[in-house]
Amino acid sequence: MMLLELKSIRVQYSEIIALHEVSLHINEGELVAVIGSNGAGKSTMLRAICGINRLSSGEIWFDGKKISSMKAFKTVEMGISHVPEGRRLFPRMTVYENLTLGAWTKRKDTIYIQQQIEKVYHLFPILKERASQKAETLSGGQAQQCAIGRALMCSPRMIMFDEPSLGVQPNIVARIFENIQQINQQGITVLLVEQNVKRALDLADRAYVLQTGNIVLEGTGTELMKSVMVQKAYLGI
Amino acid sequence: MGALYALVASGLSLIQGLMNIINFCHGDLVTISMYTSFLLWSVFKMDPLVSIPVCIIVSTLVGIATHKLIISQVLRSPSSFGQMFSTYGLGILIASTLQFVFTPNYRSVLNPFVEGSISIGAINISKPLLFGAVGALLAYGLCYWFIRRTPEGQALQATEQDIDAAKMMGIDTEKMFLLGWTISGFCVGTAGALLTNFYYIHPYVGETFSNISFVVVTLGGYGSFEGSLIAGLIVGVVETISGYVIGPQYKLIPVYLTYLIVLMFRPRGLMGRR
Repeated sequence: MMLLELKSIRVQYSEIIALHEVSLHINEGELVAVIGSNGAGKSTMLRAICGINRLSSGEIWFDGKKISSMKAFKTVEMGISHVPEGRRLFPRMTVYENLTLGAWTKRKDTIYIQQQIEKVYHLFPILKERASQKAETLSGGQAQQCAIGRALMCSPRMIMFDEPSLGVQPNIVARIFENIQQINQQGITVLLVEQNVKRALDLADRAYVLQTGNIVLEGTGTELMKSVMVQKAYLGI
Repeated sequence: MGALYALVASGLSLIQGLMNIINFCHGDLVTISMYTSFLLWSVFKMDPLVSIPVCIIVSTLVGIATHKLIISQVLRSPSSFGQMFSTYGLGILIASTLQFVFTPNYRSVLNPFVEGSISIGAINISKPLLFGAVGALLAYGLCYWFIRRTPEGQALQATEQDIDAAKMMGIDTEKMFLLGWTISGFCVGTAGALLTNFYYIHPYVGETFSNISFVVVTLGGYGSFEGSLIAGLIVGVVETISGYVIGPQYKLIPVYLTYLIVLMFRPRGLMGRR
């Protein structure tokens, strides 16, 4: 079943067109990667999906409903969670406070929040140790785990990961990708945006290549890995 | 006086931190609150203490109206001049309107519930001032508790620290802005009502509080709620002592001097960050 569908969306920042006409779809339970170089419009696409950037044309559908004119906080209520580029934790709040804010849409239900925090601690034990530490003092890898944990707090149907390997020390990167796979195996749909093309394609069921605001290629992870264009442009083979 | 400065300034600091807007008409909200209190006293013989809730409601409503009608429009513009001039202009509009309606005469409330003074040894403490200080500290404490201890307060802080990330958490940031104006209105409204007990009222009285608030906010450190309290108290104490030692007409000189000296050594203010 199709969970998310972008119908030829266009996003503009005043004069500059960031996304020309992007169409893609993600089925329920899939792990879909979007790869592309810096400035291809990947983050813009994610910000458009969650409602922070406005579309100048096109439509976005999620779970059978049109979400492209919804405000950002509504899309979260629909079940779209976001692990943004650069993590964007609330710097002067503790790890614990950051996690609770992740469950803002379910803030009335304190029992649920406690259970969910325990689940996150189980997935990332380091966060339990650092619970009362300010988020700005975390290392890159810890901060990334905290951001993923925060995104899981609202029991989303789909999580969008924006460059989760960026600014994370290399030995943690593999762990982060494992976590993403685990999350997907729990039945949460994943949209992964990465510059680390090889890892992303290894993980993904399907993938799209985004270039200067256009989708130029799509296929399964293995198909794209073999494609001459991807090998030349992104894998350096 | 220091506690009242702290209360007024923390409202200013909150709006500044939350929306990155410097609200030049903040002091004029104090004036509005004072006139509300004065009006209720002169028409209905309502004591300034009784009218505190009304003052809070009025200044909150004015704050929210400012946000809805002006700030939310100005926030969309990329230039920061818009917000500076619009709030400054609004301040002039408020003061002039009040001057037109109430004339520029100095007014004060006569025979309030709280008056006179208590003597402890050689020190005389005026009751309205003491009452103002206690009331301001209570109001400040309430705001502090709300911001630091409740989920809504957490969301407010989140919006202040990273607005896009707050949106991604599902926080309705527009509502948070309104909440910010409400808290700011609460601070200013309470301060205005407490001031009416002992302070003279005239259309430009808010200017004094605007200026002092900027000193307090900068001295305490931008966006630091705790900093506003400490800086407010410092400013109050310095003002009182210098008013006593060198004379009331020069009392603001040491205040601004303290401010300049602190900023020379701590450019980010006492509790400021990055």
